[in-house]
Amino acid sequence: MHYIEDTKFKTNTISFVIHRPLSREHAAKNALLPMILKRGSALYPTLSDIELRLQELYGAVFEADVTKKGEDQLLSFSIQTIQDCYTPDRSEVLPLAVGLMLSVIFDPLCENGVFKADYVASEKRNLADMMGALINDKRKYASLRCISEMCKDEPFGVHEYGDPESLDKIDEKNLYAHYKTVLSASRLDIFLCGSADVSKIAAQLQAGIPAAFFADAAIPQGEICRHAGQVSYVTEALDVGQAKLALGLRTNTPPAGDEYFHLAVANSVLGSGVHSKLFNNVREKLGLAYYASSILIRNKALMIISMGIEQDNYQKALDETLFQLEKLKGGEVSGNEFESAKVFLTGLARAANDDQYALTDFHLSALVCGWQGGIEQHAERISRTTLQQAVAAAKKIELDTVYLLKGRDHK
Amino acid sequence: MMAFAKTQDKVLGEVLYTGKHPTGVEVFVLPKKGYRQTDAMFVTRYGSIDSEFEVTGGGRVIKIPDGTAHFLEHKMFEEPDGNVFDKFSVLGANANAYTGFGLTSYLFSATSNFTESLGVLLRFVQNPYFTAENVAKEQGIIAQEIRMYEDNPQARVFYNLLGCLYHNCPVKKDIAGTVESISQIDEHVLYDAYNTFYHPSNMFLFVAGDIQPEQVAKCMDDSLRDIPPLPGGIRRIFGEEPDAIVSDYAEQKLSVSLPLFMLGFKDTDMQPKGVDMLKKSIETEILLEMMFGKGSALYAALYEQGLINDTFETDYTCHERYAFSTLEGESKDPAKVRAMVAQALAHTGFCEAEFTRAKNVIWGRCIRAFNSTGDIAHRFVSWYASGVNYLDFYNAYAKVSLEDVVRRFSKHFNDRNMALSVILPMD
Repeated sequence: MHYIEDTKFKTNTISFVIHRPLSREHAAKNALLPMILKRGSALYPTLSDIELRLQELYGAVFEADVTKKGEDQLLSFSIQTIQDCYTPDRSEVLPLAVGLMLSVIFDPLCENGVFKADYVASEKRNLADMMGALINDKRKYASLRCISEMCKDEPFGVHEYGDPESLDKIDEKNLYAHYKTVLSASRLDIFLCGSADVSKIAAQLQAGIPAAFFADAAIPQGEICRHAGQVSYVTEALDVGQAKLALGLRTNTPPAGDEYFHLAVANSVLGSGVHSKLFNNVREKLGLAYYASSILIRNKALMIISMGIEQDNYQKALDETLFQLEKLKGGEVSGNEFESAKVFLTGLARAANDDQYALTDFHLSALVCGWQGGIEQHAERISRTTLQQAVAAAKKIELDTVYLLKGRDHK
Repeated sequence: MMAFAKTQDKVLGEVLYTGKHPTGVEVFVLPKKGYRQTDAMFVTRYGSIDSEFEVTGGGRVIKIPDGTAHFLEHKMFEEPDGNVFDKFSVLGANANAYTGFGLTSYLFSATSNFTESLGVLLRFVQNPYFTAENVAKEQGIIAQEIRMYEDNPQARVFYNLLGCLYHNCPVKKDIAGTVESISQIDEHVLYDAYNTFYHPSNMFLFVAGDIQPEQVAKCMDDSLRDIPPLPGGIRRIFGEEPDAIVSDYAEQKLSVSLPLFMLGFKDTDMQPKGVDMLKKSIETEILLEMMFGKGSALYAALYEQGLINDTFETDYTCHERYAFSTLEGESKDPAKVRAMVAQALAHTGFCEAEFTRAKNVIWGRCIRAFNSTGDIAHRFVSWYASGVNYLDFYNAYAKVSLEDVVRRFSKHFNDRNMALSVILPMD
């Protein structure tokens, strides 16, 4: 258990994170587990039972979902409660919330020794809907499609929800068997953020989690760095008015070394923040887009650039983007761009101190990539970065995939 | 140095300093000890709905194109010596702005250089720079923003619903306007709107973070300019809005996987600005939790029949000119959702235990908002525009009884006020 003590918050947040290696075969099963578990436990058999309990705990916020960091698929359960001093009767809220969480994760509602069949059927439908709904947000969708094309031969190309084909094969029996495997052979990290009686919570967890569970202490390690081959161009059509352009790039920079911080500065100069080259050239100077930005996927050594454009401006926008990347690689970075990128990133890192979910995520990210340091060390690595170091990191970036989502009836 | 009044809320454990600068700008400072980030919002009571107005006592009636408030917000970031974002960037402050129906907010959050950043914020919002050329360039960027929202199912389902609920209230129009309406905006339109609504007497400042009021006051003294008072007050002109809704259904096809729906209730029990509005809002939130929350019988029935999923949520929007409740989500059969909601409304009864639980939830929500300087800033600002000090939350909350909630239910939730907006997948 990782205790992140901070007395300024009015809440406590406890998160359970189970690590699984990302794979096409198991992604959908892993994604379905948090959904099925939060449908009901032996003690709280229906959604309403769970919800009534949460209401009694002053509207405690319970979330269960799936994400990925690199090729580590993460099953997360979290609950946020208000501090006891804000309840009318000063009741102890956190232990009760932890009790609910333990019941949901470790004592699911079963029928005939497996998950309840109609819960599985309905959550399969919900997961299928969630997969389908990825298309609704075209900005995110274009980036997702770019990633799945770029990484089609790698586990990272699999979405954290998995795919419809493997979802189809799931039933209450094989899902329950998978659940047992996950419990026995995964790594579990528990984060508690706020100010609480830690020894009491630790004892409650000790008593509530069977000793045989979570025998594996290793965090799944996938392939991180890979060179780009020939650039591939993918175009798809949907019924949209605005076209979306997404570029997938390989950074060739591992996530835990000092070079990662150099790359972060280079990325911010290029496209993260309003000081960036993409914002100021693609948007402000040429007026080609409302948004034009780049992000890093730290644990897979990727960079994704995305923008929404008029389709007729596709070539212009692509040329300008690549031109700005070349300028970065050539060291054509103004003092203003460089300093702004650094203060932007240090500010962003330090702001994580003020949000329990962001704090938890910071520590989880550091853990997954094997970087041993806190928020201050992170900020300090950014501040120390020189222009030469940022440019050196930028020079290793290779364009891999150009994805265009265009309108269907466009000539 | 300007004087501050101090109010303390023992239940929330918060202190608020309130003052009025000689220029007329009101200021609120909420110190949050131990926070790294400070949030500041400089706000004008001017939003997309204020499209016809006059300054009483000698002004003329001015009508401006839809989308002007939002366009003006974009253009404020440009100054003769360059882009304002750059000035914030070098200080490490994260600046942004939002145009809402009734407010335009300029904000930044910073973990360092707070007073320098506050100076930049106060100065740039007082320094309009609109030219024919820079207005023309912005038309391209905003046209892309509008186009982005035209494809956005959440935005469409929302505005289509407002089109069902409102005859004349300009809340039904897109905040950004249309590509057509923004083409009518020029620098003169922007100056007309600016000179009226960005007058210091129409603006206020809210700051939350590990900061003392004196620091904020000094910064205001250094950065705010004296401007002659307006000859009179600002009179906003709105058409009459009847109680009835326009239509009970709207649909549009977009590229989505599953239909999206938004079911709305037009609020016709309108309250003037003030703490009664906050109480009404709390009553409505409690009702939404009791009737449609995850613990309700209706939610369980809808979920078990596969008619809603985890995306389902409820909301209440409250303003003196418009107010409505919404239920939104994805559903294979939105018409069935509507039918089940209507049926539940006809058979609702409320008990004390349910009421207490729902009230607990609303309390937890308020406490959580005070965890974040950004959340407090947003809540405080939107309520202050309605004449409410958000630190009065507990006072209003404590007064709400089951009887109040039952009375509120009968006034607000009925199927005459209800409309359904649906986004359907393409064929």
